[in-house]
Amino acid sequence: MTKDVFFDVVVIGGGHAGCEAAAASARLGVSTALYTHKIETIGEMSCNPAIGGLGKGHLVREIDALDGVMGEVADKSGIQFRLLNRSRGPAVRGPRTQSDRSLYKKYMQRKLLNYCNLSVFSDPVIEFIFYKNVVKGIITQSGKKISCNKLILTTGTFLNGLIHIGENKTPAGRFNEKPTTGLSEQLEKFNFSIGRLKTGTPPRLDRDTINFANLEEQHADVDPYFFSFLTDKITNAQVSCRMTYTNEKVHSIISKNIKLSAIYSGDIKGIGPRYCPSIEDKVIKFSDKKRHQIFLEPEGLNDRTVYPNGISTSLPAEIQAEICNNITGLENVKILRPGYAIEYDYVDPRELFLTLETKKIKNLFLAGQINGTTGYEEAAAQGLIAGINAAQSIKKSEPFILDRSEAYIGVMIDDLVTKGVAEPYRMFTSRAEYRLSLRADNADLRLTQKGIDIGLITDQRLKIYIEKFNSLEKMTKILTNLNISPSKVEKFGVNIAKDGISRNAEQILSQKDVKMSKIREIWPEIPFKSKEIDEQLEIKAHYRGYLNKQKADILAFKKDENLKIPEGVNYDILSGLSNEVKSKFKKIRPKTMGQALRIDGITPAAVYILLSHVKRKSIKNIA
Amino acid sequence: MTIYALSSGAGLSGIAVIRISGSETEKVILTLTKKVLPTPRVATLRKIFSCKSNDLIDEGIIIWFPGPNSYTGEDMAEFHIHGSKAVIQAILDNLSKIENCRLAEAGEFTKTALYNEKINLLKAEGIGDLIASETEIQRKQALKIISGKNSYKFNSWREILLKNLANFEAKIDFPDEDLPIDILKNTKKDIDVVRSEIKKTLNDSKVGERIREGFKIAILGPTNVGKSSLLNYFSNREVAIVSEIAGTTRDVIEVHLNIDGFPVVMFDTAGIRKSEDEIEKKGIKLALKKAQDADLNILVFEPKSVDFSHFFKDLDLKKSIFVVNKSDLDLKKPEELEQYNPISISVKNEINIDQLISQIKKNLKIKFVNIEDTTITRERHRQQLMQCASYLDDFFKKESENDFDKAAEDLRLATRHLGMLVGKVDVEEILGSIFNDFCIGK
Repeated sequence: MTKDVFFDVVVIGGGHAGCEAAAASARLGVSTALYTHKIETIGEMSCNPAIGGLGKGHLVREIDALDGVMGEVADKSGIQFRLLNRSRGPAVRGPRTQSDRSLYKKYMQRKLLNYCNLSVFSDPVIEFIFYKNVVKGIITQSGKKISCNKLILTTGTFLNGLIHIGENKTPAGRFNEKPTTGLSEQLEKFNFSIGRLKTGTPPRLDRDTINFANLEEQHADVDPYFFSFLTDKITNAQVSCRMTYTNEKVHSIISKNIKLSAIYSGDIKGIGPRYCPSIEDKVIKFSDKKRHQIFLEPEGLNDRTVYPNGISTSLPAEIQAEICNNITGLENVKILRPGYAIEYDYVDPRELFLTLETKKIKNLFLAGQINGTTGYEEAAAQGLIAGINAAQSIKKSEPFILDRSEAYIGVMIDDLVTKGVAEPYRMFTSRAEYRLSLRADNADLRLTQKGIDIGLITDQRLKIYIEKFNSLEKMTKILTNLNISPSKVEKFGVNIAKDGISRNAEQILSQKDVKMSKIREIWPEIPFKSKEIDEQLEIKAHYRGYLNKQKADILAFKKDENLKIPEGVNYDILSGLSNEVKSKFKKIRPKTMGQALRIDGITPAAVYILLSHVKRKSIKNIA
Repeated sequence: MTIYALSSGAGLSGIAVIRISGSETEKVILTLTKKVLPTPRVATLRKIFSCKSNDLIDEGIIIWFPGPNSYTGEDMAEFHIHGSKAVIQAILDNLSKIENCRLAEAGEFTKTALYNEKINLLKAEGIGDLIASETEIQRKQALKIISGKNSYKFNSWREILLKNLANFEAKIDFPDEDLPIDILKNTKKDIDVVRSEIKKTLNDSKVGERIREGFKIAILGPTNVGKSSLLNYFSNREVAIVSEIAGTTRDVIEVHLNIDGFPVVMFDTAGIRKSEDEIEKKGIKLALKKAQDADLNILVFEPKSVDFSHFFKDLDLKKSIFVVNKSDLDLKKPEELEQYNPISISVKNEINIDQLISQIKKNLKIKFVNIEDTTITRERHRQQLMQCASYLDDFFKKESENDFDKAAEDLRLATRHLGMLVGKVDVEEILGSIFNDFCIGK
């Protein structure tokens, strides 16, 4: 007997995008279901066992600031916390941790299975139900028909996935898991523009067969920096990574067997990422480098598997063994599972609105690797935005869109839907125009209020945030109201221009090498709220000038950026635009001037024509 | 949309050229010639007919430029026709009747070429300058821009900055990678080369801008001394006149002149006197501002002038020529002016004006002593280069690793301003440089 079931939002896929999408939608109070192949693979880290890094760590902090689940789970499962670029300035610090793969899954599953408004099912989806170009529901393998208002598809590399190990090709999503095929065919009928990408992984090694004796050790930070604004301590033991290097012998083995690699034999058509090249690519393209570093990353506290980061490969298994056995420390290593390259389909993200809803099928949202991105964090951030917007739309509320001046999430989604992707898209801090403003440390101050405004933030975080915000306001006020003259402050060892003009405490704090401890030495009456608050005050002072300038830039940016382009612009009648530009505008249908400006291949001059058209039109309407 | 316009000048001429650009060009040729397309890029004699009937309009040369190998990058055609008002009008009328065709706006062909990346921003500016050139020296300068000499210079600086910026960005985004060390120290040498070249370029006495816009002369002085008459005198001498733009503002009138092949703009300004009237005070302020911006001031007085020295403090007397007008009145020159060696003239009787002109020429020659090595031709260029140089100065103040992020920001902003100068701003270029130069991939 089958019975029709209904959910407001259905999420397909239990990866990082799916988890965050389901949780966000549920947090906004609409009934949500998550469908996946297997409960046990929810929150699986299919590639390297780490969360965060530059840009990526920023994304996790932003997800957390919007009360997402990734930050908290990453903190609970972290086994080697490191704050990257610790000494290079606060804006470019990126939190990162090695994760215990099984703990990560465990905590993620525990979290989602107990999430309010969320039901989780292990039942593969085999068919979509459409009515014309509107998605209405799904049919599962067990024969259930589920109706829904919104559907979020987060199927990662599972669309027509193809694994390459040497000449062997196996259709698959992740290793030993079936790819999703029928759904692709159904989507194809809507003429989505589909591209093909590839990514790769290294072989997995048996820890007990590695000789660690002479390998450099990379320790965890003594003073760990967390992903979640809610975390105040960690409980897991912290471990080290080890480092080893390839050598000329290894390089010659690779060169000799290059024809056997799937990447070089011509078997792989997909485009791989430049920042994560296979060891084959590294050896061929940078032949002058005598060695390449390899990080030996433990996959868990109670897991023998080691992930040798730096040697992703699609050479045949026996060559992989030969390579490993010629690397210091890996002479007798046992390969648990060979490395492979995987090719998969992605939907050109220019098919999406900024809400991540598709332009061609109403109520269908896409998030994660299916949109041509790579990385857990990028996937999760999209899941969050798709989940929020699906729920917002059901509640008939305004779309939730972050722009480039507000968040890395905004930078990423704007890049995706306006420029599309040429390689798997990864977040870098270089992509952010306002890098000094978009920091990991202030993600909550940038975003949590926006979450509160739409009812996305749960009580615990709300309380913590409000408290922090108020303390910070109070302290800033105190600092700006305390003044001191140059001659007096000199007695405390702080040198400023002796112009007789007194400075306030905030200005003193912006002097080189002055910290809050020095400020309290001068003004012992200043209260101490928390280390975090002091740090915020110090960072704000560190970037004084830069942040003011950036603020002015952002205001100017927002003025043009947010100028809305009416939906029904007839691009064909716009004079002075080339056909190429017109077809790009018609395809993407930018919503704002800012978005129009960032379309790949669109010049500022073309946008200027559009701008004058839009302005002229609005004047006409008034008249 | 396909655009068309008369590309040759207005007025009677032997031959006139109408240009057409856009996807409908082929249809336009077929409709008006009622024959097959001519061989691409070969001048072909054709009869030109009315589009809806077989009435002959004219006979002329048609050249067919299929895109993208055309000026605009789109399909284009040129109709070389007889240059009479009636012929031109008849053909333009017929073009307007063809679907999706419309008259081009000013500069639209070049704009289209810019969008289609047939030319870059600087070259487009150069073409604009060439079309507007009035003197030999302006023509030469415009051609130099079109040849890409300055754009090559700007781009090469930008490439150096980009390459060095990539070092910073790589280090920031890939802290665990095996990358070059001591970046803050090691990039300074490269950057310093760019910085000092930019500063050298900026220190050019604005010769390029003066060639483009004209050498600026402000006529200044008390009321009723004959400033306007002097300007009228210059603008009425036919040899000197190129064009006249009157009443650009309420209080300043300018005239474009060609003196010895050098472009000159002469301004007349409001008379200066002590005044309580708000509007008049504004006019005087404007006059003094014009004098400051000008390359040369002609300070005009008359023998009866009183109370004029109070505004000397607001003027750069070193770039001023003193003139006492109304010498025909046969009065004594004011003694206070003797120290400035004033030239006595009479505009009314055209006495001694040659001496004034030779003084002006002397100043022109000093200004345009070095006209070969100009790089900056517009205020826009100067602004961007100044911003760039100022961020590079900030960059040089960063010494410690703690300032790594700020140093990167300085370099980013400096690079961005050079990018705005040449019309390129794209993060993909930085990423491209990172991945080409360094082996990244943990």
